[in-house]
Amino acid sequence: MVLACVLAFGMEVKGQGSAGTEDVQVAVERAIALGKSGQYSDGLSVLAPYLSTPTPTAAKACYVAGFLHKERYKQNDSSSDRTEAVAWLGTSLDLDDRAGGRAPWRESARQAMSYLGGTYFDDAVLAVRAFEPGDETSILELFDAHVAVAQRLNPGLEATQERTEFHKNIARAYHQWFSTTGDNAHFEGVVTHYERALALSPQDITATYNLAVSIYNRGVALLKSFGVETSFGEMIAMQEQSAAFFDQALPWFERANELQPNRPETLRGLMIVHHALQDNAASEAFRVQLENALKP
Amino acid sequence: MTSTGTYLTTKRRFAFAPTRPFAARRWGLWLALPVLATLVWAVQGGVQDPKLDTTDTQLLLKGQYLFQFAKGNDWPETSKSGPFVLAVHGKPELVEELAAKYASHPIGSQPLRVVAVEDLSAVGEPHVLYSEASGSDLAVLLGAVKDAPTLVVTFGQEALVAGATVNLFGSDRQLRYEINARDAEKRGILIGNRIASWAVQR
Repeated sequence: MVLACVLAFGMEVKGQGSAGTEDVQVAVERAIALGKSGQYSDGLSVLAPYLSTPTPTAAKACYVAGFLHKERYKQNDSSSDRTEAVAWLGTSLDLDDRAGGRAPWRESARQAMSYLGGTYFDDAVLAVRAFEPGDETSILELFDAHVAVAQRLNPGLEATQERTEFHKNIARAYHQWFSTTGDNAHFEGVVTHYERALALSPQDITATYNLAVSIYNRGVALLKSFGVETSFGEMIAMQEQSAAFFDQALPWFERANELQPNRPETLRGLMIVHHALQDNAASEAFRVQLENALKP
Repeated sequence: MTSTGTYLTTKRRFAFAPTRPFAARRWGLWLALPVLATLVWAVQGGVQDPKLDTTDTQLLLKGQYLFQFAKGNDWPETSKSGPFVLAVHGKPELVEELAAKYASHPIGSQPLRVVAVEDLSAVGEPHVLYSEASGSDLAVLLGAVKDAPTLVVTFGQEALVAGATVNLFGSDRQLRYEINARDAEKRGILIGNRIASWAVQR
């Protein structure tokens, strides 16, 4: 059924073509047969002469080449095959566009591309779940590849929200690392990725509040590390450092309150950060606001 | 995750599959699913948002300051036997903080004992007395340790109150302190150089 379907596309093209087109079509049919028997590399070799300078008559050859690369990617999980598959499927659609966009295999090529775009997205998600510091470049490359495919298929597609969520999740992953290691580089990862999320989506209340909390907590952690071994000089220095974190956190809490006024979590944050900054009057004012916000 | 599941399912799809029915509808779904997926990602992936640390930071600072005052000053010889008593009036959470973090550490050769003071007339003669009282309560407290070798630490007073040795107050977004050197001298307490040098003049 499947083979018959693909061959039917071939027959249609063959019937319309010239002598040169027939050569291409013979190669395409041969490549399909090889692909059907799992000989993807051989199929690609058959198509190779027609792919060096693709013309509209070779559009289906490009489509089949994309499919063969896609199958080889599924078999070997080879990222270069995935890249090639996307490229050839894209080329086939470009060539078909030039010919009026009526190829019978067109929807099949789009679905193949959508599948490949989905694998980029899946891989990016899995990479965040198994995140290790430094992985963000490769994760964002996978995400970019996903977006490129999606936008190739739907040029108007807006990916800002998705990209924002990726940065937020990378920030969360860094937060988990920082919670375990206390490594300053991991804390910087938290801040950097929340800031990138906010650069993309300045109205994102979650990123704003989480950034505020992350910075504030860093200051608290410094004070919590006070102990019997802390010297007087160290105490003074740690207090200054923590106050700098509280100062840095305050505008983000204020921004969160602008974005979503009277949200209890934010009001609690404002109450606490002002308390930490020794501004008991402001802290009390936010305590009253919080109390009012929590009233049924 | 909804979208990932969809993609993982499609990964197993056989090559050269015939065009599926309802392809256009599913195509629209494909575009929407990653967005939905990323939105619920945090919940399903187990990644957590940071939780606001509600620890009382002023309490941490006050505890550390009191411990530093105990460590960094010198009391008269008559006060150097028995436990080193750090008394806190009316702030049980500070007693807890001090007891949990510092009580195991001796001050010189004296074991540190942290005590809570509730009865203003039964303060005794602690080495350090901390209170956030003001007005008449503070006056009673100060009267109870008048001329005793007690470092009296107040909090948030507009200016140093007569009879108080140290006043902690918020300034420039940090907790600072001022010292009444004459009061310390009168009580026979020698303020440490380091502590004296960081004191604020108002």
